[in-house]
Amino acid sequence: MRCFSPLQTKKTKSGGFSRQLPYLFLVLPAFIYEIIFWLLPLGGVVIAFKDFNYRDGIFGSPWVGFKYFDYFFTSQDAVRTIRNTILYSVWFHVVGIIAGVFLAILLYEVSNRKLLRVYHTTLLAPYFISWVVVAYVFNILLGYSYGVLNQMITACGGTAVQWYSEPAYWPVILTIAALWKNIGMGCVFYYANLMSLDENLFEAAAIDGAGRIRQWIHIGIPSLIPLICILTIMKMGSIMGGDFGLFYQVSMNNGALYPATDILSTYIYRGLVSGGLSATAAVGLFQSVVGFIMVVLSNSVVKRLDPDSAMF
Amino acid sequence: MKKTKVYTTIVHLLLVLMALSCLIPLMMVLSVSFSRQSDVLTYGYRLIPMHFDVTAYKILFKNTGPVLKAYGVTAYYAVVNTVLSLLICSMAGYAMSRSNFKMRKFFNYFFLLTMLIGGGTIPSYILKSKYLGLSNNLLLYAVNALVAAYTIFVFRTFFAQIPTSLIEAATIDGAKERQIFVKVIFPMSVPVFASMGFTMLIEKWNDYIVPLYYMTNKNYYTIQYYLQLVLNDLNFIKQSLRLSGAQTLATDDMPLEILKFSLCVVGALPALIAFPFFQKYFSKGMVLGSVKG
Repeated sequence: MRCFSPLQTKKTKSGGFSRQLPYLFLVLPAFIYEIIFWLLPLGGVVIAFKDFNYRDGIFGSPWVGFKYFDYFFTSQDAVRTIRNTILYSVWFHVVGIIAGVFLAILLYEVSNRKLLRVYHTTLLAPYFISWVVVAYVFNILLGYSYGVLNQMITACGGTAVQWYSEPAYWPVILTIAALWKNIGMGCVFYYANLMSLDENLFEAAAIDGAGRIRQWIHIGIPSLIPLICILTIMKMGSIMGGDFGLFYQVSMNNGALYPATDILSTYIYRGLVSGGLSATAAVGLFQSVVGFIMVVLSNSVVKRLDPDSAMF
Repeated sequence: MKKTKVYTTIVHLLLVLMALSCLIPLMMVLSVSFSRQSDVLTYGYRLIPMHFDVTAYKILFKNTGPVLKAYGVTAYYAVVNTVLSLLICSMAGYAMSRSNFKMRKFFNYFFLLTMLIGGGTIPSYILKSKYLGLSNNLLLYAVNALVAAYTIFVFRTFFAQIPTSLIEAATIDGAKERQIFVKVIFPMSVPVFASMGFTMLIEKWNDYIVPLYYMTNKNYYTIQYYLQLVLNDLNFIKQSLRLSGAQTLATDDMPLEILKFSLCVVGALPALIAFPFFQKYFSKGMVLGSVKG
């Protein structure tokens, strides 16, 4: 393309660098920002191998090698946080797909545009409140003395439950909270995908005598499989992450619930608060490195399956 | 299309059920905030207040100090941060969308790398708090997380679709790159700016993480962080109202349980009222999201 443009050749002849300068100025603010706020902290990971203290700073603090990695990986916390992080990531993804596809199908069946908008707006509302407000909502449901659930239980003759000190319930509670907040946005991908599906396929199946539900099972849902595969592989890249707000706010950072609610992100935050900066940086570095490997792996798989969806 | 009446009815029934399960918990927050404290203490939270009572809101409107301060900080954070972020990211995105920018490959890889790997929370915490002095500093709200590779790539992808003939025509007319960006590219890209901008505004409005990590000064709390402190400790309401000069108030008689939820309403309402108007932009943003590095 470039060689066909007369303007182009003229530019490059009359001093290449000065023609490039305007572009450089445009990209420079973002570049400098990333040098400060991305590259410097990236170099700062060395504190995971040091005994960091504020007085000596990053350069002056003494080296300790892998001490803090040993310390983390031999502790009980490692098993608990890594297990929780991975299991919740996978589980929320699976539940999210099922619920998202189901909701997308329901919305697809609504032919009245106004009604469709009312439904979707309502389902989206929880997405636009903060996790703190979600914590208030769950407080109304789960509060010991005034909560709705305990009102129902005692009305049926049961005994009130201390929801906030019983970890056994929390995998379920967290799943509901995650679904409740995110499903309105989660279904958008699947809905858009269904909208681009050729409606004649449904009609052909209808002529063959398939009922609406069978049409979904044999045509609608299979058409979503490629999208689901891509989303799943991409999800692998962020398997070590986790929604800090969900685990920290909804559980109200309750120590008794840590067996069920503690993930790497919340553990790192608490480490920061307690002042063990080097120990916590080691956990963070472990999280970043595993995350990086997973992203590169998942991207190379996506690239093979569907080059258009690959990130790089 | 073979849809029986029963089938359509079930679809709508399920959707109504799901919509209600999204709505009712939110309605309950609202309803508790309009309840009488003695009712709640005796009977618990109810979907419909037994006695309609606005005492909590009266107290809030008489002592607007802490809430208004948090509102102000949050609004400043949301607006300044969003505007700066849009500006910096769109400029970079524009440069990288131009095929005669020779270093675009380098910057592409650079920004992609920032997306793939990072130093983690702790090093960046030490940088901001120890070396840049941004703890307890309102400047942090303006500069926090301004650049995201993802945003740059969305802009780049969008700008790349604009026909180069338009840009070349402007070049022949003697326009500089900066002028082209402001006068040609920007007017054509309002939807993408709106989509990214509203998403960022809501994100900042709902943020509690920056003050959680960096702010101990009560004057610098965002509204969501203020709400978090209230939820975790009811007495925080008393303290903050008293500090703002509400000595005349008999603080022992304050309906704290109700005040808590009226504060929650006040904190959640702006985003909830705003989003339906911008809803189409949000879905657009989701679809735009499939971009490559």
